[in-house]
Amino acid sequence: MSKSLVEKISLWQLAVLIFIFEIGSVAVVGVGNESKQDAWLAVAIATGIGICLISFYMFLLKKLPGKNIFEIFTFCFGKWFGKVISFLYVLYFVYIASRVLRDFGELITTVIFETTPIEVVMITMMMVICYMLYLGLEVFGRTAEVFLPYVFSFILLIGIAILLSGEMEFENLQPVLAEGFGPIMKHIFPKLLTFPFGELVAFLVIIPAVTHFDKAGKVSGFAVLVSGFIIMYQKFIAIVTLGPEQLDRTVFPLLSAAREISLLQFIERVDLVIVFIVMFGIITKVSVFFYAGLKGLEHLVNLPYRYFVFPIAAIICYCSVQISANYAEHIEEGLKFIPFYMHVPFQILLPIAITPLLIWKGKKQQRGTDKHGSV
Amino acid sequence: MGLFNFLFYRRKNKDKGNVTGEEFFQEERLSKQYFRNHEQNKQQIDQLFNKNFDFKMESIKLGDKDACVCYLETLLNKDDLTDKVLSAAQYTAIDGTNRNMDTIRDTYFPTLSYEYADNFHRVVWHILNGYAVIMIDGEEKALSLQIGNIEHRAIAEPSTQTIIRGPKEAFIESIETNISMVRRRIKNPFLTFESFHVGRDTKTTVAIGYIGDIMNEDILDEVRMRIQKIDIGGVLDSGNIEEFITDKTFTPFPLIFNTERPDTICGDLMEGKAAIFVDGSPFVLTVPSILTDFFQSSEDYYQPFLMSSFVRMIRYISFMIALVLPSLYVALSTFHQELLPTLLLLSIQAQREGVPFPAVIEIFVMELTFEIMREAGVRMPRAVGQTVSIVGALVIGQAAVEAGLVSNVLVIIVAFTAIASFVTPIYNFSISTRLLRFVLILFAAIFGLYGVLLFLVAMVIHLASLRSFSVPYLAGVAPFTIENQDDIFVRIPAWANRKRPTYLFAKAPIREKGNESPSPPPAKGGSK
Repeated sequence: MSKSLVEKISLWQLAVLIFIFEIGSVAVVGVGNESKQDAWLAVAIATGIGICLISFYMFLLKKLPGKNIFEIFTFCFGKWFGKVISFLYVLYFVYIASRVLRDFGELITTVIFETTPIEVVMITMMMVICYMLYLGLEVFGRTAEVFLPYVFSFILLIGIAILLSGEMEFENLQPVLAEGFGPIMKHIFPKLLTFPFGELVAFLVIIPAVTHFDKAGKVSGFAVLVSGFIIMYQKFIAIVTLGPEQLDRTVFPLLSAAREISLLQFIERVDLVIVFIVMFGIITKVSVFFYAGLKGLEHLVNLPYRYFVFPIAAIICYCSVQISANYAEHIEEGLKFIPFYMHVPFQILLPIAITPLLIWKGKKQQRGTDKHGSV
Repeated sequence: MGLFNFLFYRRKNKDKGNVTGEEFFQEERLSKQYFRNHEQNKQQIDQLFNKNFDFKMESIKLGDKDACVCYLETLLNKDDLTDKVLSAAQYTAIDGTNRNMDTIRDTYFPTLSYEYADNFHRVVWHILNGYAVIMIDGEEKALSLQIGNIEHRAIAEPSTQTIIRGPKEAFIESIETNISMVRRRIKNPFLTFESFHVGRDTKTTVAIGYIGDIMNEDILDEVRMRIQKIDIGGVLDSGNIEEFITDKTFTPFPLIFNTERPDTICGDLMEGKAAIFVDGSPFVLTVPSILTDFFQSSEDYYQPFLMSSFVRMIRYISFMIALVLPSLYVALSTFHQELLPTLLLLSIQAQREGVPFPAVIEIFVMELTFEIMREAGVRMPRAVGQTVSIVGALVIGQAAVEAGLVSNVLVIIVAFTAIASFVTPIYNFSISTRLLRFVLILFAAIFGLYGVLLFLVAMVIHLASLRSFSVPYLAGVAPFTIENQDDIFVRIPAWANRKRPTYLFAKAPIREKGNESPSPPPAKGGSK
């Protein structure tokens, strides 16, 4: 195994990656819209569960420090069965990467370039992502750091600008919990929990590459918390600006909300600008899944992952065009099929399934080293 | 074979440390031997230099021995030579006693700085360096005396990096003068200058300056290693060696900082950087350099911190303007008209009404015209300088608009972009914006704002991947370090800025201790 390219990212870079990853595509498609005016509440609860989830992931990683999820699978299931599971995860990551890419392609072709083929958008974007991942995880982390202030401040500014434009109707928030907690919980599990929080499963590949691994748990928990707040803030803006009915109808809620901004008769139609801010969120998100998939391949075939960057990028582009015929189908898949048949098993069931194995094998190994004495 | 050479030279140089004169001519046809026989030596030297009109070999007598003085008269001060060497040699004839080399030097040339040359390469090297070499019959070494200096340009004001308040002297072409200008400012005994000779033909003196108790050793070793590795015919300016020691050549961004200001160099040395002086070049390099260095001027530290922070912001903004303004114009006017306020859009479209070109052609032609004028302005003789400005202003500015070839807005944009690109304190940094601007316009013409952003993301990725002597090019920003924020985008008052930049891993990370705000503590209670 080529270990010459050991790359490390700092804790702050990890936090930045998690943050941008979380708010990335949520800013595009919006989540929890079924909960109507209580969507922000649903996000708040989901954030809490999301923190539990990342703590659980950290618990798994801490059992074998420095090993990523693929190496953990091999440890738990042995060489061959571990590789089968790893391969499934690679497929999953590549598939989700192409879904996220499709989200963005749809956004661009719907809002800005109506006549441009979606493939053009996806391929150009994928080329930039390839370039970044080819240069490595460190470059990825640093690039994310550079863009953090823009992503963060623009999302904050949207709310302030809408407020100043006088388009916010705070009555839209009422009635709070009109139908009780029941429906909200139903929306949280599994949809809101798996997207965006459950997708953190991809970080099971990245977190082991952090310089201060012992502090990674706290930092990632904190990053999830902050991004939960930002998602809540976005939901809040969308609800008070659009109202629950329009929120349910619109395809890109935050975008529709930003369209209301009109300041000084100069700052108008900023929704376009927001598309571009969201762009970096998408780049990060695709890259994280893409990188996770590449690392899986590296583990499977024992070759540096850089060999696979371009082939897999081509596959992702192709998949993202082919996975669905149109945006309605894409969203339908994303809401009905994906959470139950892909997210839940890969994000929750499989990690839970390996937990007892991991603990048992870990203990066995420890006993073994105790018996034979450490080297 | 190339790889072999590379490894071989590296190994060899590592053992060697400083390269001195005698190693130079090894690969050449010169024999190395220095004979005890005077005639043989004279013949050898004569063979090498006899076609030169300025080569002189004067036979003299030192005591009872035959000797000769060899020198290139264009390289030394003839009067000094006569005064101090030739006339002194006359006394030895009167003296008449038999002496050896050391006593001769002690007695007759006690005030001159000297070196012994015990092999032929060294003799040649000394002659080429402007020494007067005295060879004595029967001695096994020659005596080289340093006489006078060659004329240099006087120290003048900086011509490319001007400031309003602060020291007004700039480096010149002589490395000794340049180093003395730095030594005069820093009286730290650990200030060290290591010299190397680079260039097969020029054997130019290259000196690495650093402060031993601040500079990080690993970075310093890297600098030494890269300079020793250089294999080049001639070094005529620091720009020649810049391309040899930079981490990456295929980038529009300069990875090595250059300046002609001694105060800037001193500041960098005290931060823990190394300076590379090249004989014959008034531009001194400092390494490692990061992106934000190119947005700082030494004047920032002489002006009030609020003002210099503001000016720094202006520099960053104008960098962005110089980079993206033309492409934004293309993107907005062709793809995203809805982003512009209606009135502005109407006014722009009204002006563009008669223009026969699409916006991208229009701006390409104008930017190209400007680049041509800029190059003409730099290159042309001073006497005709007026012409370009008149022709440029009248023809390009006014006539083109009146003829309806370009719109007014576009002229404004091109002019503003040009001015913004001059804001950067270091001239060669604006190269990046000048080159990337055209690519960006192309991207904007194809993909609109999406293309511009995509390109900017790719540019940031590229920047994030760059390193200068193992220091990340975006250090301070990515990887983000809160400690370094006191001197990057803004400058905090000098008394509060106590730390050296952490990315340089200085041996002494704290600059000075115990500084406090100079303002008096708030009065307690009422005044009496």
